[in-house]
Amino acid sequence: MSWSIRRRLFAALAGFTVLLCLCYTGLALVIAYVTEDMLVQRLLEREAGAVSMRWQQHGKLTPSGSDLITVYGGYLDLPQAVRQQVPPSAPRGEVFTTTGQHYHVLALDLVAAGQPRRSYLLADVAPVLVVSRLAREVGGVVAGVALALIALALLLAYWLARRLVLPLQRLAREARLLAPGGAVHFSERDRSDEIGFLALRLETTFAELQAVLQREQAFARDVSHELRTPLTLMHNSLALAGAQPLAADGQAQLRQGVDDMRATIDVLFALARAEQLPGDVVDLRGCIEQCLLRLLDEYRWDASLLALDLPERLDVVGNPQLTMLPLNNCLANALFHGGPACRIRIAYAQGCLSISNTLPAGQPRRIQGFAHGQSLLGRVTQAMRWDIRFHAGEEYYRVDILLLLKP
Amino acid sequence: PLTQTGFKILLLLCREHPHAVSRSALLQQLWGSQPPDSDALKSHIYALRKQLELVGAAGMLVTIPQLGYRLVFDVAPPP
Repeated sequence: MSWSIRRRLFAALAGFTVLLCLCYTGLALVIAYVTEDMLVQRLLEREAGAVSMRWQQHGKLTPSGSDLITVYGGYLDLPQAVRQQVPPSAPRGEVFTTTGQHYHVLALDLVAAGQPRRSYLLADVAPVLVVSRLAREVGGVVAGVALALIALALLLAYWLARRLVLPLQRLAREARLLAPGGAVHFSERDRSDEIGFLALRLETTFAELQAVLQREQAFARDVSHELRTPLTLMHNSLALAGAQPLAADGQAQLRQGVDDMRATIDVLFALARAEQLPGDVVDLRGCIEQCLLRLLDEYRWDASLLALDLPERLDVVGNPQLTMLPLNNCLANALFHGGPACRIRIAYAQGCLSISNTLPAGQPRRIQGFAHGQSLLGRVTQAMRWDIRFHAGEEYYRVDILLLLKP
Repeated sequence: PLTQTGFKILLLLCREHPHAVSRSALLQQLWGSQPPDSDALKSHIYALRKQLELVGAAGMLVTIPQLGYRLVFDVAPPP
């Protein structure tokens, strides 16, 4: 199992804590021992000064005033254990014996009858040293307390590592649970630190990625669904054209199929590429007028049969390119299915645009093309956060489009 | 004489010939995003039509009810 970031952080904190404890413990011991040695050395030097002064006054070596220090007149007078470890030329030395004794030696150079003479001061400091004794007597307690403090430090390190890493672990867990098409929400997104920024960026990026994937899936589905029927119609027209010259109706159907496919492809690409479809303000009345005028060039229809009940300007929120598709589709279908004598009414009331047309009585209803386009109409209006509803009656057909009005 | 607005309307209609120009497009082109009511446009169209009558082209400016206007040229080719 790979180490998690929490275990790594805990190991780093714990290692740092233990290392710091060991370093300070070692430093404290060194300082204690050095202080002890310096203290003994100072005592020897003070005693050496006193002995030297008495030598100058009385001309003979006198015993030390301290019962710790012994004055020796020559090197050979020193105990054998000391002589084995301290050479005659050494000015000072420290001796540890196997019997547990601890000596400090200081050489004292005197002058006798014009001749130099080296004497030695030997201090048996084992009885007065406290550090070693302290270590022996209360070492267990000190070690126990130290271990308890280290354990407490490790516990704090564990708690700290857990607390520091918890937001990251939560972020990783939520990222691991993300599923295609599922809701995207990171609980750390509101933090003001780098983790919050990371969560927010992850959330945004994942949401955008999902939107792109959904558009790609919708594009593939729409292409399959929307282009199959016009392609079939065109294929049939071309097959008939091989047998006999294409009649005017056939040519019109072929042209209509090409126009439909071009418009459909444009809209499908717009839907697939658009990142934020709504957002622009579009004058819907202008679009309707433009659309009707274009259709009047193609269809033989008397414009006096049109009833327009719209405000002077109808501003809605939508995509200019996509807005034309539902209008073109609805109005072209109204003219195509209603025939040259149909009445068309376009009205707006309370956020709803209604497009209705009358149907010729007694004629079979031709809804093939209209039904084919409804799926794409739904997708387009949904992309602009509009809503579209179809109402089919015996003598009329009405489409209601619930618009997103300009705020 | 032809007014400046009348000339602009005529120019726009000529540019789009043989297609019609929508009422909203004319309002937008003439007055931008804050056009006056449609009566102002009707008045200018009326004045333009009167000017065209003076040169014998009264039927050239065709109204498409509620939607827009179109120019229709019915000019005989020169002999």
